This record gives sequence, structure tokens and C-alpha cells, in this order.
Amino acid sequence: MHIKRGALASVAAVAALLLGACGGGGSDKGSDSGSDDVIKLGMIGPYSGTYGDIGPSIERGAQVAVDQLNADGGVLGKKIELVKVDDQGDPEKSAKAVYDLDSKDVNLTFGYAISPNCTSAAQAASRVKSLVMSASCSSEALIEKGGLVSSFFRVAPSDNMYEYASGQLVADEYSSVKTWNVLGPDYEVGHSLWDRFQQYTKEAGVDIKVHNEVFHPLDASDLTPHITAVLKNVKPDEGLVILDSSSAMANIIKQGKAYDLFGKFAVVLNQGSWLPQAYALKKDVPEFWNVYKWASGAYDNALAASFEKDFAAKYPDVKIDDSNVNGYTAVRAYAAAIEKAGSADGEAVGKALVGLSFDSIEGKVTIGDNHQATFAMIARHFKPDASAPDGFVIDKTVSLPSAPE
Amino acid sequence: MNSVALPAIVGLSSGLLLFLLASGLTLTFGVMGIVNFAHGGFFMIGAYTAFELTSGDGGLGVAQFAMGVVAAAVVTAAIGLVLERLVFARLYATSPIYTLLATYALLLMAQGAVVMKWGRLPQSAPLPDGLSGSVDLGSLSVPVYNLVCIAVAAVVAVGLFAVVYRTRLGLEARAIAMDRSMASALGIRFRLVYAVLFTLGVFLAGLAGAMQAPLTQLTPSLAHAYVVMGFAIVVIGGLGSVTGTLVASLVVGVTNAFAVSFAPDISGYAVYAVLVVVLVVWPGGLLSRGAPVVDLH
Repeated sequence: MHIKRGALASVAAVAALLLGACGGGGSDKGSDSGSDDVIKLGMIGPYSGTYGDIGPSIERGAQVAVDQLNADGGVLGKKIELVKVDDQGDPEKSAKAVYDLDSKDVNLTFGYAISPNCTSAAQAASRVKSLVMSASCSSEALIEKGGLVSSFFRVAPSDNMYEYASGQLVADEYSSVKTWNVLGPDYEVGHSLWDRFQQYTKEAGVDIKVHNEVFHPLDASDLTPHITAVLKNVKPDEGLVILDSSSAMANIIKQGKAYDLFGKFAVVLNQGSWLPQAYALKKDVPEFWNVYKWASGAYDNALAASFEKDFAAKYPDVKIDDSNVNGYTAVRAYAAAIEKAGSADGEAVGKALVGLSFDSIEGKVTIGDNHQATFAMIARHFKPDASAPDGFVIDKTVSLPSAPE
Repeated sequence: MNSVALPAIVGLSSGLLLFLLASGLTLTFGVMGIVNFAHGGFFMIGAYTAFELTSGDGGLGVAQFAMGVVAAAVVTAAIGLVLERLVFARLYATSPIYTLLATYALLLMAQGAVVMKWGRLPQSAPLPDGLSGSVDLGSLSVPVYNLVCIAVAAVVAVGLFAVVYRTRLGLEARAIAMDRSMASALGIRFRLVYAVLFTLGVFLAGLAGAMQAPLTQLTPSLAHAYVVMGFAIVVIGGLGSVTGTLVASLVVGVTNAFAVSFAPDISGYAVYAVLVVVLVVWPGGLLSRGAPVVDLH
């Protein structure tokens, strides 16, 4: 069989496009618009593709909140229901999901993995008077002065919150570490986080110097060149900030082990969700600080306790992670706003969310004029421990103040 | 010295791991003319199978790890052979677009199977203590596992060249790649050759996945993460050229490592810049002979 090279190359090119465009998986759009005694919330997030673990994780926390609210009689006397859509982590599919749900009168949505999903969905939501509540993405662009998108709200931490808390942690615990290195993803959020880390650390009174700045492509699987680059000429009294979360953070740990990446610095700081990866890594979890929002026992309130108990009962084989907490808080925020507005209408709920204070796992959560929920951040100190059931322990947690709006 | 030697070794190791993945891809490309998206799925199955075989409560020894890696590749190859008989054998006479769709469907099925068996939560394959440290080569500290990967890839490369150039199978494969009709007329059983080569390609995909498993977090999206780079290497090397695939893998790995070290601002684009330059200067790939047929050379 003679096959033209050009033809095969064309097929390969089409194939590559197809591969890029399709992340696999499907969607569960549920039934059509809710009946009068049901309020439907759209859970839009990745259930497949690179971030395919985030969607189910957000949903699990959200479902616990839904079950608790429904057990208490619902909201405005109506039951809450989740309508799930798999956006495969694709921003275009996030926007399409917003339109699809709007056509079914589901205007209150939450979830979304990373900032491009949030941006795309928020723009779509603005056109159809729906709302987007981020339970994961952290970009400041959607809430900055002059750039605030009215349809967008966030219960996940923002870039500012991560770095303000990290700056406080450095000032409180590591003020003697004056030289810092960075390893992070080479896109807007990665650079924004690093800039803010430097700004807030200096504002907290620690005059830091920068040594190696290494940013890797967002989708890089092989990070060893970047790991060796960030180790170039480092001294033991320097610090390292790793701006990756989830699987990228786990890959850095696995690929950095042979280079003793975490042992070469006085302190390693990291931000963002990565607990599911930690449970997979077990004894390979190194010693470092991770700044995010949840650790068992870190919040002393009734909802935090009931969340842990109900989650364990509903998902006995799954350990709680940060995305569960964000999903839970997103549903609690909508429930409180619907009560305040007296309606589940998108516009009315949007108005009610601004300035709203409500109870959730994090304690009293307040949504500011910039549509960002504020709450105390938690720094967690991970340490390997072969005798622990998970192979590691969180031996210290520190509650850190939320960034000023 | 270290500033040059370390990126070189890192690039060599990364490149040769990519070669393990891409060499199987180029076999199916070169002889069978199949754009095999399922290759990423086989890579993923190899990685998860190695995870299954090497994870446990007890300590993992080097011998147990090695057996787990080989067994994972064999299991993956067995799955590949079954699929070749059930699916691919029926597609040889059809348009490439049908094969493309079929292999993409198989990739999705592989992801679905992984989700069913291991779930969506990430998994982590262990590396035995004996392979997780570093050795000092002069003033250079080099991870042991990098050296192991280099050695395994070198053995695979030599073995592959031996199969292609020193065996009857290789001779028949090259004949089929040049002209399948003529080869059939001369009594070469192309379906048997296809089955053997396809299984060999899947074995290499499984081996690559198993070798990569300790270095990466395992998720059902693993297939997508690596197969795109595999295709890029095959295109850079020249469709169907084993030698080209080896050269392209090394060029990509070393270019990436040096770009990160010496030109970090362009490191994200360096590999793609190489791809563009190669396609402009050598449209058929680095080691293309410019012939109008896909051939194995």
C-alpha cells in the first residue's frame, strides 16, 4: 500500500487538532428547568481531561451542603438540586455550559477549574444574566478595580489572598530567609502570584532578594530541566516558592526527589490545592509549607465539624480536600443569597451576594464589593512520617489573615 | 562544566524516555500507515499496570520493580495484540480517517477503563530506594533513575535497529512499507507482519509508560499529556524513520533542557521552534529521504 506522506501528515495534523479539542468524557445536564419546588444550581467543571479530578471533588463538597440544606427544609422552602456539566477544563465548553443551563433556566452556576474557564464562563454569564461562582480559579483579573465582571463571584482564595498569607507566614516564621527562588507555571497567574509574593513579603517587613526565577509551560510533564535550573547555585539559607498545585506539584515532588529539591532550601512554600496528590504520594511527601484553606480541625465551628462528619458518612472512601470545601462554601453562599434576595433569580441573587455574610466551614465568610469571599487562610506544614497511616502528617497549621480588599 | 553537563544529561534522559514512547508510534506509522492515537492509551495502561504491580505496603526492591516494569509492558502488549486482531486488522484496507477515528475511540475507551479500575483520583507509582538517589560523576550529581532510563532506551534502540535491519521480520516489514501489494505477491504475509509489529509497538508504549510511572502523577489524562509530544517527535524525525525518531527525541530533550537553563524566557517555545524550523527546512522530517512512500529506514 502506497501512502502519500502529505496525506498521512495531514491526517496527523487533523488528528492532533482533534486530540487537542477533545478531552473525552461527557456531560450530565440533568433534566430541564426546575419545577416550582426545586432550585437548581449548575455545577460546571472538569470531570475529564487534565483537571478531571477537580470537578468531582468540588461536586462532592457541594453535595454535602445540598444534603444538609435539604435536610433542614431547603431554601425558601424549596429543595436544592445540582445539575452537573463536564466542561473538560475547556474554556469554550465552560461558556457553552453557561448558555445551555441558561436555556434551561438554571442561572446560578459554580465550579470552574482554572482562570481561563472562569473568564470565559463569566463573559457568557454576563450576556444571559447568569452568575458564575469560582470554587477553584484564583486570577485577580476578574475582580480588579476597573475590570470587575458583574456576573463573577469567588469563594476560592484569590491570588492576593494566597500571597498576602504567604507574606505573613514568611514574616512570622522565616524572616531570616532573605533570598528566594521561584518555580511556577508560565502563564498570567504564575507571574501574578510571584509578583504579589514579593510585594507582600516586603510589605510585611522582610526585605527579600530574588535568585532563580524558573517558569515552566503550563502543560509540561517533564519538569526535570526546570528543577535543575531552579537549583542552580542555591545556598542552604535560601527559600523556594513553588506556585504549582495539584498534579504539577506532585510531579515536581516526584521528579525533584532525586535532586533533593526540598532538602536544598531552608524553607519551601507552596500554595493551592494538592491534598488528593498528597494522599497518593504517601511517604514521598516532603517537608514544606502549603497555604490554602482547610485542614482537619483548623476551623473550630459547628459547620466545619458537621461537614467532616457528613462527608465521611457520604463518601467513606474519599478523603476531604480543599476543593470539597470550596464546593460546599459555594452552595452555602448561594443558599444565603437566595434567602436574602427572596428569589433564585440570577440578577436578584447577584445583588444579594455583594456584601453578604454567611456561615460556612471557614467560619463567617463575607463577600466584598469586589465579589471575592474573604476568610482566614490556613498554612499547613507537611512532613513525611512513615509511622502515620497516610505516610505523612500535617504537624502544624497556622491561621493567617485574609488580604485587605 | 556542570552548567553544560547537567542539562545535557537531563536532556538525554528526557529525550530517551520520549524515544521509548515515540519509537512504537513510528513503527505503526512507518509500516502500517496508522496514525495511532490509541498509543497514548497504551502508554497510560503501561503506567497504571506498573503502578498496580509495584505498589504495596512493603518495601519495593529493584528486582521487583524491574519485573513489574517488564510485566506491565507485556500485559500492555497482550492487550494490543487482542485489539490488533479485533479492531486494527479490519481497518487496514480502509481510509486513514476511519483508522484515525477508531484509534481515538480506543484512546477514550482506555481512559474509561482506567477510570473504572483506578478512579479519577491521582495515583503515585513508587520508585525503589535503590533507584531513587543520585550518583556523583565527578562534580556532577546525577539521578540513578536517569541513568537507568538512558540504559534501557539505549538497549531498546539497539534492539529495534537489530529487528529492523538484521531479521527476516525487519526485511519483510521494509518490503511491505515500500510496496505492500508487491510484497504480498512475493508471499510475504503482511497481516502477520502487521500483527507482530503492532504488538511490538504497543510493548514499547507500555514499557515507556511503566518507566515514566515513577516520575509522574498518574491520572486518566496521562494519555493526552504524552501522546501529543510523541506525535511531534515522529513528525520532526520523519514519518516512519526509527533513526529519525531517535535523533528527534534527543534533539527535543536536549533543546528543552538547554533552553530552560540558558534561555528561560523562550524555553516554553523552544521545542516548537525546532518543529517549525525542521518542517520548513526538511518538510518530510529530519531524516526523511523525500520518497513519496512511508518507509522504514
